[in-house]
Amino acid sequence: MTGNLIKYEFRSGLRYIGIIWPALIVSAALLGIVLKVMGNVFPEDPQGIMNILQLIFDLVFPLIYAAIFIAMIVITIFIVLMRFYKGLLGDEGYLMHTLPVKPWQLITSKGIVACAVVMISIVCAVISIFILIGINDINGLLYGAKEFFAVLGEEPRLILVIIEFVILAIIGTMASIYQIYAAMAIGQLTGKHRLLTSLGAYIAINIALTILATVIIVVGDTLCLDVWLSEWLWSIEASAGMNDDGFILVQAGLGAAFVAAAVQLAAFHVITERILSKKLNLI
Amino acid sequence: MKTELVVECRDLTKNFSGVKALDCVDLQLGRGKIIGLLGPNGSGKTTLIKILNGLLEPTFGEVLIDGEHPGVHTKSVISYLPDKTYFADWMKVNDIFDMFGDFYKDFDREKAEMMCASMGIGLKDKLKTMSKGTKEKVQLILVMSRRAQLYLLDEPIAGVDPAARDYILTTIINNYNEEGTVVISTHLISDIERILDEVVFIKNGVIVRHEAVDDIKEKEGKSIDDVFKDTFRMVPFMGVNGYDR
Amino acid sequence: MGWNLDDSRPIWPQLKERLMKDIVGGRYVMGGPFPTVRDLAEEAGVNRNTMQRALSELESEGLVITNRTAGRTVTTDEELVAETKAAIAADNVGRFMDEMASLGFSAEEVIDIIKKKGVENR
Repeated sequence: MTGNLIKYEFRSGLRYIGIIWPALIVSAALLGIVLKVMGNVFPEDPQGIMNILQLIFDLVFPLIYAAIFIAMIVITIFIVLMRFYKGLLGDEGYLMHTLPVKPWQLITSKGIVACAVVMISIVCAVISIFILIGINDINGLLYGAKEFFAVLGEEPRLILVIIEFVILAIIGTMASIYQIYAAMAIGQLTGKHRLLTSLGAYIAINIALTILATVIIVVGDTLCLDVWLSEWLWSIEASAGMNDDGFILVQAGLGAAFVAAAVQLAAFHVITERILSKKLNLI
Repeated sequence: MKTELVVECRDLTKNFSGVKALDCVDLQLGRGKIIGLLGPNGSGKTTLIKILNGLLEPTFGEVLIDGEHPGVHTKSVISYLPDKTYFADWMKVNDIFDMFGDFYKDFDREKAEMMCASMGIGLKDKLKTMSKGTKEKVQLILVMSRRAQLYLLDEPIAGVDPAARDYILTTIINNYNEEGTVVISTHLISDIERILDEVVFIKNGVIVRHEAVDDIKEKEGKSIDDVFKDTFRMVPFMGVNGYDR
Repeated sequence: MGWNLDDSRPIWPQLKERLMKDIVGGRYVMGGPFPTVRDLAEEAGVNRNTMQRALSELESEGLVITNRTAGRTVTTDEELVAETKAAIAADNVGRFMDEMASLGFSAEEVIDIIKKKGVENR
């Protein structure tokens, strides 16, 4: 059933953003071609009519690209916020909450699709930038890629770090999305000022997290835990007979970040799930 | 194995920030009946229906649907018509039919498509651009195309003209699953009393009467509409000297 | 929607009366098929349980017969139909006479009026 929920959630998301992703890629390609072709074909000729054309092209295509880029960001945020707010807390909730599924399945389907949309948007943005660079300076791009893979070849452990980093990014994005969900779930408890309370709850959660992080850092600092910990990690690395390049330290750092994000994600999920199960307040 | 009762409420109470919307409701509904849930606006009809279909958690008390507490099973046997239109704005009629087919085993798509055709609604029509009345028709089609154990219809005939009322009621009585029970909440009694087997009167969150329609008529020789008016009569303010005459 | 019914009385006896009249009045062919509960309920604008109850009464009186294979049929018992017809007539006349009595007419006067009316109509 969760699969079915994700299917419909994804179809609804695609209605909003499905056209934007390819449009961004295409506009990046067009812009890249315009920049390259115009620069090469028409040399400096201040009086030439082609120069005016070039001026217009130089102005219009970057604008199109920028507009689509901004639209993608806005729609991505819109999907993250509104698909949850309208879909589970608004009138659509009368349909979704009476489907024969559990609340956690509803939340998970929204969260997974929202996270996927964010990820795809980021990937599209990166691809579009590579296209822009690639068309104008294909050699530079290839050289960069070659260098990159050379480094990977020398230090294969970097592949592991990259994969870990991607996983961390996904979990971190999920945690950020679920923080918004939890805030909106708290906001719907009030009858009238739902959006305002949601915003307040979001800020309050942020403040609480900052305070918690500060406390941990201050406590760790006073007890000199950080020094102790890093020395311990270095000693492990040394005893394992590895190069002294801090690999274990990086792993420990990524691991800690992963645990922190996962704990947040779990906490926000539990808050949202409990509220939607026990305190749903559809109006 | 089927329980004898499709709905069983014990001591059901719901408080909204201190105000009692439902107060110790004991209610037992059998199968295969059409039951009117009758009461003025704000008497607790919608609250009761929302608790039955799991949209609200009761403050105290217990509710059993088809022998189970509200959850995945009860949601799979309840067909609910809210007094809201609940469509996601991206969907076409086809999409929502797909969705009902995927989630409800008892959804009869063929029947739904036939009902659509008879109402002149196209399967490719976008729900977003439909009028409110047409959206409500699509919801009625969805709800009545299921072979549910319990139909919960919240104010299905409020805010529509008399011709549409007849149409809606005919659609309901011709399409419900005969083994299932239909609960219709309304304050427009004269329009529906003829199709009811039983009535439940609810007043300020309390069930004040639950009886077979024929028994009431036999006993009181009055229409349900008149009995309802007697039960919920409000004394008009007659002025300071109003009672001196 | 539906038949003309009085909401201040239980519905099923009214449905039964109406169906009896339809049967003895020849709306349905004797021995021929009788409509289903579903169709009748739809026509009358009542729910099927109510119509079912009225039909059960008709069945127990023998005006409608349920066959396992062919569904419901109208009775072929002409005597029963005649009896029922007579009973309905007696019932109607009785009520009419009561009404007339309450206006102060004697039975003879009423008969005179009826005779006169019959001549006029001819």
